[in-house]
Amino acid sequence: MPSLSFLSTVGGMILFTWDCVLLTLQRKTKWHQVLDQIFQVGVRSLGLTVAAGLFVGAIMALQIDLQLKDFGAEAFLGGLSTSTTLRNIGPVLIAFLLSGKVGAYTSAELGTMEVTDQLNAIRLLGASPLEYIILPRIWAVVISSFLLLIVGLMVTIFGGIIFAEVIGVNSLNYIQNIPRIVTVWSIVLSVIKSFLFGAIIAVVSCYKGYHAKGGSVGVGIAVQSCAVTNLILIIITDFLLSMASSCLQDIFKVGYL
Amino acid sequence: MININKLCKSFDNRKILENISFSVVKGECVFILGKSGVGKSVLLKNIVGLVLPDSGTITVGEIKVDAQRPEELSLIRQRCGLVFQFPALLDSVTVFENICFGLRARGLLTSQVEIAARVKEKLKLVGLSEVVLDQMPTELSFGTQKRVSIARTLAVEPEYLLFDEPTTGMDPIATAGLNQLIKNLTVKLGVTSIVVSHDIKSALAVGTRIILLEDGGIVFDGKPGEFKSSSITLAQEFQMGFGYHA
Ligand SMILES: Nc1ncnc2c1ncn2[C@@H]1O[C@H](COP(=O)(O)OP(=O)(O)O)[C@@H](O)[C@H]1O
Ligand SMILES: [Mg+2]
Repeated sequence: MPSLSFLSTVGGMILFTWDCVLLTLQRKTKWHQVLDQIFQVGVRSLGLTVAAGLFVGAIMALQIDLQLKDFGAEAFLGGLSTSTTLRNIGPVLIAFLLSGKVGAYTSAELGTMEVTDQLNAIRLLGASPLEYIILPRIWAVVISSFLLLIVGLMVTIFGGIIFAEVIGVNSLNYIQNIPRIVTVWSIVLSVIKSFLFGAIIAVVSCYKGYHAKGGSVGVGIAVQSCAVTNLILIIITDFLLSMASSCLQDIFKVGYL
Repeated sequence: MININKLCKSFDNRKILENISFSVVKGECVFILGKSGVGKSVLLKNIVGLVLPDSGTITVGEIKVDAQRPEELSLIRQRCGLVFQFPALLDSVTVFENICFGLRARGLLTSQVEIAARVKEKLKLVGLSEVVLDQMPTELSFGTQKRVSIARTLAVEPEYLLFDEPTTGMDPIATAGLNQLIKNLTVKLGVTSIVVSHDIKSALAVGTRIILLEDGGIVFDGKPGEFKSSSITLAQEFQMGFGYHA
């Protein structure tokens, strides 16, 4: 049953995360390796993230402008499009992009190491692959995905501003409208989402690669299943967080959460 | 001594090894032959606890292979080196770092001078020059990577050596050198070795005993001389080169 196997994957990933958290608390993380990996997986994705951010910002400005025009409410464009982008579309789309770029790279690399016995060699030589190979990658992917998401989200705001000018909305008006709708809470929510999405991409890609088996076919299966699992978990998490924020908004009556 | 008792292993309901039992005593050099996919690599991985049996027991020296006892398993892995079928070198570090990985991980040698001396000694044993030390594994040919992998296993000086197709992909000169090395280790240093191989010539020349696997079981277990005159079809096919699918 596919749903059962999905649940067992999630269970396995929770245990896997717990092992990594324990190792981190025992100060087993080799931070210079984390830096190396951040360069390997993170810095190389910067250009792509910036490009995507610009387009996402522009698309949102265009779409929302189309809707607002009918109500003659273009003055709200800056706030509405920035808010929707920061709170939802931006983190999800950029996380999808990173799960393709960073996630596929990491799961393929680890999967190849597993099926060619590189991880077994480490076990035999008296070290732990979890500590030596997995832990630095998990942290590198968490940190670089998080930073890339934050950078990407800031770029979406610029994308919106630039495109507003293109479609004839005064960019100063657009910028002035942003703080009317975008609250501190919108920003907090998007930072929390960015962190969780980064953590999901890291855990899923490392877990899938680490558990690959059966030659190059096995690596293919691991990468494919990594991509699907990432997308599903990101969507589910986005839904749960959006629900949680709207509940909190009702309870505390603090406007937009 | 390595003792394997009624070992059974299947993957996804497919039986790979069925009731395998044999012992290898100190100083023996046992060659294990069998067609591809018969489960030779799986057998070797069982001995060092990288694959766990469905039933049956394995002991290395006095210690039982038991995944529930990590300290003992680690001791077995230190005493019992396995050279994988793939070179399995770590791509991200140099050849030097690969060879001394086990020394560092186990804290066997602490002085940098001693570590460097040990690495160079083992590199020489496998017939490589020191030029490769600063290179990355991916810059080397497959045969050279394999020799580095053997040097890495030798570096921690195990009492038992398991080789998984050590000469596959090597040129004839390197093959002859490696056969000589395995013989020297066995005869001069009293190392006990199990060699999985397709190379019947090496088996007859170097091995003190040959075990032939077919359909999950042992179909021949005896001296090289007996193997030559064996009436078993697969044993004859191996010597004539028929039915051999690498
Ligand atoms: N981890 C694994 N999961 C599933 N099947 C495996 C695994 N390892 C080996 N096998 C299968 O077991 C059989 C024996 O493999 P192996 O021991 O590598 O053969 P060989 O005798 O060529 O070394 C093969 O059919 C292989 O596909
Ligand atoms: Mg094999």
